[in-house]
Amino acid sequence: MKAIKLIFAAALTVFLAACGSTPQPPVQLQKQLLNAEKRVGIYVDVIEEPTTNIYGAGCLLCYGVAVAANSSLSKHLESLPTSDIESSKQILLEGYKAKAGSVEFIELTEQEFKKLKKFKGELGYAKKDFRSLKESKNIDVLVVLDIATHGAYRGYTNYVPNTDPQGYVRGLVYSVDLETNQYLQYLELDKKVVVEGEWDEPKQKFPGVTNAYYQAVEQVKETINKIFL
Amino acid sequence: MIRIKKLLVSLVTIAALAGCKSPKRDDYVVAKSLNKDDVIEQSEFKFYLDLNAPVEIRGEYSHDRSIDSAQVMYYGTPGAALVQVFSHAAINSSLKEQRLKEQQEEANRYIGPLIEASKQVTHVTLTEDMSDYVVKQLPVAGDKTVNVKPIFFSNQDMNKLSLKLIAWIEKPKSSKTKSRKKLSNLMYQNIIEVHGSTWSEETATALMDGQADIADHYEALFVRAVESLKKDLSGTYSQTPQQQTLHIKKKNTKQFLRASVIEQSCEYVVIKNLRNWILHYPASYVTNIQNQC
Repeated sequence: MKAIKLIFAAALTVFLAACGSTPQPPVQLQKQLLNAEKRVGIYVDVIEEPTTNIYGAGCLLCYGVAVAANSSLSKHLESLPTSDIESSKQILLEGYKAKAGSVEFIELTEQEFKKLKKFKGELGYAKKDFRSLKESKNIDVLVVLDIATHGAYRGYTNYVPNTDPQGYVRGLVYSVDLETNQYLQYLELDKKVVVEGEWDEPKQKFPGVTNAYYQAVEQVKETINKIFL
Repeated sequence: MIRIKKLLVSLVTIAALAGCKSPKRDDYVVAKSLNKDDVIEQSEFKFYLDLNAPVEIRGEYSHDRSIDSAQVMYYGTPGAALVQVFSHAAINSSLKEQRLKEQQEEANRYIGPLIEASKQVTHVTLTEDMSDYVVKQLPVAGDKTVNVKPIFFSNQDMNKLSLKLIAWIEKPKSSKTKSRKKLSNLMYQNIIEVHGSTWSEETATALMDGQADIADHYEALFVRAVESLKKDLSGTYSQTPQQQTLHIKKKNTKQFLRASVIEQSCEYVVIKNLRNWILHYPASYVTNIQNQC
């Protein structure tokens, strides 16, 4: 009985300790490791359509109510083209072209991604072991652009909104040296832009929120551009 | 039960009291264009401005109404819980409004010296060279005279002015509806926003010390806005080109704006934003379109 208790306590400690793991800090682009002989592959994860992202509606019913309350905004955002946010990949292409010999976009299927093993490295190393891609994709450096979500952000406490909808883009951009699996660059993207004036303008197709969304997109593009400065 | 009732009464009272503080929202309107049949030729343009009213100068304020809110535990019967949710919503709404109002007041406090230095600026000085256009009597609904209300804004550094000119034309009484919504009883409504250039340190000092005429700067923005209003009413801006994201220089940063460029000259770029408001920026401030000079 004692042993069971001990194992349970140990498992709980490990579980709680994992919750507090140190997040990866930003890594400035290691330009000295890029040269004309390096081959760079840029992988852009699928970018979903923009929508309203609800945070803080802590119960299932609260979340349902919040989603329903913002449904007309979500419907509008989903009708917006993704071409603006997608154009951020061109900034990466141009940026790396100026620093490396060969740069191209690469495709990675979901299966290929799943096949990659976990990498047990310290901070500064990618969590997945990308090293196998060096041979299979014939590249030395992998660049990943992952736009996790975009559209509008709205904070809630249970059923009640704490914020007005804001323009929102969240994602991650990083590059990995496929020799060592070390990050050459790592940056979390998180832009929220407040709507100027009223936001609840369904008859006019939410011009305030739409403008704030495009502002967030442009801010993300500026941030990506600054990686190469 | 009595406890819950007491709690609800106090929650509702707090909400009601907090609701007394409401921020100014007169710098926002929903745009409504004139019908094609109602366009006003530039030669027939007239506007009404209350010449006795003081000029409004406000500080540029943050529009962020976000509040921190602790987790709330609702309890009691479903009915009581529902009332608590509504009370919670009312309190949050009041707190958001209070935050916006405080930001507006703080922004106004920042520019106190500029407000003081601009005391001699009146609606009369703004319209000095526009006597042909100004109507002195309050327009009768339907006579196509445009009502205008200028609201000037200054940045915190007090070295850059902008103007929001709110303009509207009322429908004739015969075609007014009983609707409470103001917009349905208007023929036209819009905002013309004009941004001035940043003053040099010497200019700003001279203007604040009264060694240069500050009224000229207000008048220049007003005249530009009225000229633009004339064009909007005559249908000049009815064609809207494709939207793009414009980069606007703002102090040491950039501001982004989704809009269509409707007019461009060496001095100014005129754009129509997603709300159909008409915005004027000094040409050198719009950094991602080709200069026409």
